[in-house]
Amino acid sequence: MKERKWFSKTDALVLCLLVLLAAAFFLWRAHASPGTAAVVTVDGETVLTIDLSACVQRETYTLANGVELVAEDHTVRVARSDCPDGLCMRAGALSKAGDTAVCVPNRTVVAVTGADRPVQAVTY
Amino acid sequence: MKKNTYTLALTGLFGACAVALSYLESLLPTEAFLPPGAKPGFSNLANLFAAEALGPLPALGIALLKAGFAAFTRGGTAGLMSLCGGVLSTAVMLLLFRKDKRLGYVGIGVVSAVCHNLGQLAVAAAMVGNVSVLAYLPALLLFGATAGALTGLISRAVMPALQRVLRRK
Amino acid sequence: MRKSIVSRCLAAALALGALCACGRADSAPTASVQNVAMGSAVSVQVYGGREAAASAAAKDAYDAVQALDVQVLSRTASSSEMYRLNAADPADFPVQVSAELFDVLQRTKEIYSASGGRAAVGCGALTQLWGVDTDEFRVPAADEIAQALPLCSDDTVTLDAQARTVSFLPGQTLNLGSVGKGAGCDKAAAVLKEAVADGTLRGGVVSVGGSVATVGAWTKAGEPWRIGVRDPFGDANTYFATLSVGEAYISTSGSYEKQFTIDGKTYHHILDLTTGYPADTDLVSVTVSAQTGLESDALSTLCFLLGEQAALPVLESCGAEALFVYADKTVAVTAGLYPAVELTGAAYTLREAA
Repeated sequence: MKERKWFSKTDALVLCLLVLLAAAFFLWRAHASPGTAAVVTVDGETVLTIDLSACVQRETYTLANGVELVAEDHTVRVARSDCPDGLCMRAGALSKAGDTAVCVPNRTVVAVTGADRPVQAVTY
Repeated sequence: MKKNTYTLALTGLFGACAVALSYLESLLPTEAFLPPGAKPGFSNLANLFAAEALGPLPALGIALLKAGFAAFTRGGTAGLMSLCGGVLSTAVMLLLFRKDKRLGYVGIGVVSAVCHNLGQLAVAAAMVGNVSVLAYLPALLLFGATAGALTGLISRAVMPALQRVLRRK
Repeated sequence: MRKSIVSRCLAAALALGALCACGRADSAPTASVQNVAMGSAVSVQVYGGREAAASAAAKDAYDAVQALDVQVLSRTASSSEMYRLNAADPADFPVQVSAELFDVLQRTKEIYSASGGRAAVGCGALTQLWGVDTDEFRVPAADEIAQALPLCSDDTVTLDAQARTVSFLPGQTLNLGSVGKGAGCDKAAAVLKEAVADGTLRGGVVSVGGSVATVGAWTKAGEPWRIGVRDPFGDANTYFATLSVGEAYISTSGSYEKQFTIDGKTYHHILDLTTGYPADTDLVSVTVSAQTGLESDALSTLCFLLGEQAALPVLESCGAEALFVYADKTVAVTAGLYPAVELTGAAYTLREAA
C-alpha cells in the first residue's frame, strides 16, 4: 500500500473550498442590513422581542433563567450569564441582521432580525 | 489476549494524553484572539493517532474519555457537545483512514476538525431549539480548518516515532 | 476532473453572491435620525429617495420637533412661549400668544372638555405637586391636593380666538405635557409630507417619545406600516401587538410609563383632576389612532381617564380609533382598528370594544 502523504492535492482543494466558503460568508455578513429587532428564545420559545430600531437609551432585560441582556444604541449584548464558558457574552454587541449570541447551557439564543423588519416603530 | 491488554494500555495512555492536552490548551490565553467557541483542539492528536494505529474501539473510547473530562471540568453541556463532536469526527477519521486514498494527513485533520465542529453545533442547535446557532458555523469552519491542518501535520510528524513504539511490543 | 471541481467552486461562490444580493433589502430606511427632544427620545426614519436629500429631510423633521419645544411648548426653557405664559404676571392677563401656541391650547382644551373635568390644560398645580413634570415623584398630603384641585380646571382658562389671548387664575399653571409629543409628531410629519410631495422621499416614520406619525409608504409596493404597541407588562422596546396602518398618528398612554412605589403602593402618572390622584382604573394602557398627532395624544390620555365605554362616543366624534389594554390582558379594539391589529405576544385576548 502506498504511504499516505503529508499534504495531497485533495487536501489543498478541501482547504481552498473551506476558506472560500468562509470568505464568502464573511463578505455577506459585512453587507448585512442593520438589525431592527432582537428575538430572544429560550428552549426554542420566543420569550422577548426587543425593538432595536427604537432603542437609544440603555435598557437592561433579565430573563427568567438569569441571563441578562443590555440593549443600547441599536445593539444588544448578553451582559451576564452564569454559563461556564461565557461564549454568549463574548459574542459582543449584536447590531446587524443575522447576528447571533448563543448560550447553550442556558438554552438561550439572541438573534437579530432585519430584512423582514417586523415593525417600523413602537408606540408607548 | 496479550495484544488486547496492550491495546487497552495504549488507549489509556493516549486517553491520558488527550486529557492532558485539553487541560494544557485551556491554560493558553486563546480567548483573546480566537472567535467564540473556537479552540485549537490539540487533543485531537490522540484521536487521530488512535484512529490510524489502534482501531475503532480505542479511538471512540478516547473520544468518550475526552467528553467525560469536558463534562467534569466545564459542565454537562460542554460534555455533551464534546461527545457528539468527538464521536462524529472520530468516526469520520476511522472511515477516511480505512477507505480514502487521496487525502493526506492534513486533509484528514481538516475534515475531522470540521466534523467535530459540525457535531458540536448540531448538539447546540438541538439543545437551544433554534437553528440560528449555525451563524457560528463559518468562523468555526475557518478556524477548524486551520487547527485541523495543524494537528494533521503534527500527527504526521510524530507518527513514525509512535509507530516505532508500537512495533516494539 | 479538476476543471469540474473548479467550476463547482465557482457555482458555489455565485450562489453565495446571489444570497448577498438578496440580503440587502430595499425596505431598509434610507436615512434616520436618533436624538432627544421634549425630554424624550425622538427617532425619524425615512424611506426611498437619495441618501443625502433623505438624510436632510429626516434632520429637518427632527429640527421641527426641537424648534417646537424650544420656541413654543417647553415648560422649563425660558426661550419658550409656554414658559413665558406661565411666568406672566396675572395683572397682565389676558396675554396674547402666537397662533401656534394658541392652536395647541385651543384644540387640547376642546378635546379635554369631553373629560368631565378629569383632564385639563390648566393642570400644572397638580402635576407639580406629584412631581410628574420633574420625574421626582412624591405622594402629596390630602390638604395639598385639596388646595391644588380648584387650580386645575379648564373652566378658569379663557381662550379668546379673536384676540388670540389667554388668561387663567393666579396660581394656575398650564401644562401641555400630555400633548406635546403628539404636537411634535404633527410638525415632523408636515416636514416629511412636503418631502414626499416633492419626491425627495417615499415615506417616513417619526416617533417622539412613543407618539408615532407615519407619512407616505415605506416599501415601493406601498405595504402598510407596522407599528408595534408597547407591551405594558414587558420591558421598554417590547411590544405585544402590531397595527398595520397607512398614514396615521398613533399615541399611547400607559400607567406603566412613569411609575413609582411608596409604602408598597404603586402610583402612576396619569392624574384624574376630579380626585387629584392617579386614575383608578382597570386599564393599563390605551393606544389611539387619530387625524393628527395632537388629537391622538390628547385622546389617549382622555380614553385612559374615561374608560372604554365613556370614551367610545368621544372617539367617534373625532373619527379616531383606539385599543384598550386591561390589567387582565384583555384587549378591546374599536371596530375601525380591529382588522389592523395582530397580536404578537402570548396571553393576550382580543375583543371588539363596546
